[in-house]
Amino acid sequence: MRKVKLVVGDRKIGEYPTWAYPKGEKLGVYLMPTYELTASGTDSQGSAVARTFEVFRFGIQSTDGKSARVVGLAADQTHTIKAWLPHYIVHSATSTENGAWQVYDNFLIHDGPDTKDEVFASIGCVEIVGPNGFNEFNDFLIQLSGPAASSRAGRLAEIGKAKNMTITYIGTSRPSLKKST
Amino acid sequence: MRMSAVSRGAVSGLILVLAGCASAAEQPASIADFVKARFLARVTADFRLPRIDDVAVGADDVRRALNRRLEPDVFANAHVVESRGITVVQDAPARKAHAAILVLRYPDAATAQRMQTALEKQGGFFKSTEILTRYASFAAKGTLVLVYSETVANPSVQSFLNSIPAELRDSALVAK
Repeated sequence: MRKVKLVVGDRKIGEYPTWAYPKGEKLGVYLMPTYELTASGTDSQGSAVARTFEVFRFGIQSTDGKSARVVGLAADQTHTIKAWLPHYIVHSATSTENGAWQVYDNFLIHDGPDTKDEVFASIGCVEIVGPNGFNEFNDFLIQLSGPAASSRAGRLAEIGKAKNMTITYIGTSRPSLKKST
Repeated sequence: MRMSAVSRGAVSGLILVLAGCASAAEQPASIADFVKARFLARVTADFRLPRIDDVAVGADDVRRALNRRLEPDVFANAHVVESRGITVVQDAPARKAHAAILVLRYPDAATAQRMQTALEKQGGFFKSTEILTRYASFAAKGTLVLVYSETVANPSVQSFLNSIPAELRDSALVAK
């Protein structure tokens, strides 16, 4: 299978509502900048291809329900994606955007808000923003990797097992806490 | 989560209910239909060319999705009467309004009321979820109605969640 490179940038490209996970429901809604993730590799013809996605890189944590702080991977670093986790579910409702990529430990790549009507939390996971964003991201990874499995689920599992995908976080400072008005 | 589509874009019959038509033929067929109609009445005015998804969720699926989100085990000794997910979507600019409706029936009114009290004590938000998810609930005569939304930044959804318990009480549907 072909190699895939993911790079999470340091430039703020947007802003989405978020909340302080896991105990900060009553602290209200904050605003968190979004960043650009670039997925690149080669297609089945050997041509270089790349596509960008809007993502959450940082999040807000509250463990006591009283105070909140910005968390997430800020230092420059590169990891090999460890696995595809098909049973990871973000939603309590019906969704086709389930599953996650394990960067390491509990740092994952998974679905994020489709629109600014949803308030997603993150404590360092990369979350793919936009309608059907996570499905489109995974479709592109399949296109870049070229797995042999016949089903979509099988292809994602195959990519996870191959460990041919890396993610680089470009070093940047964590943003400040910003409350939504 | 497995799901089965009930209908897509099927709003027209429900709008008749909201318009105040009183004949028996136009009454909502179920509690979930009533809640859906109130939800659509509240949120669709804000959307341009809304697309409406209405998905029936199986009892096992909803139990799996909600068990770790709620302090009380609302499914203990409960029969899942209805479980639906309604999503209103606008493509450009991207907007979304979501409401899930769960109707549970218990052997007696006291059990339903105990669950309602426990849900109120939890404070109106799911726990152990990355998506801020607010719920409202109402219980009467052995039936508990739980309505929740993953689109709480939408002011119309907030307004709907604030009003739906009183609307259920006034409708007398749950008590029937």
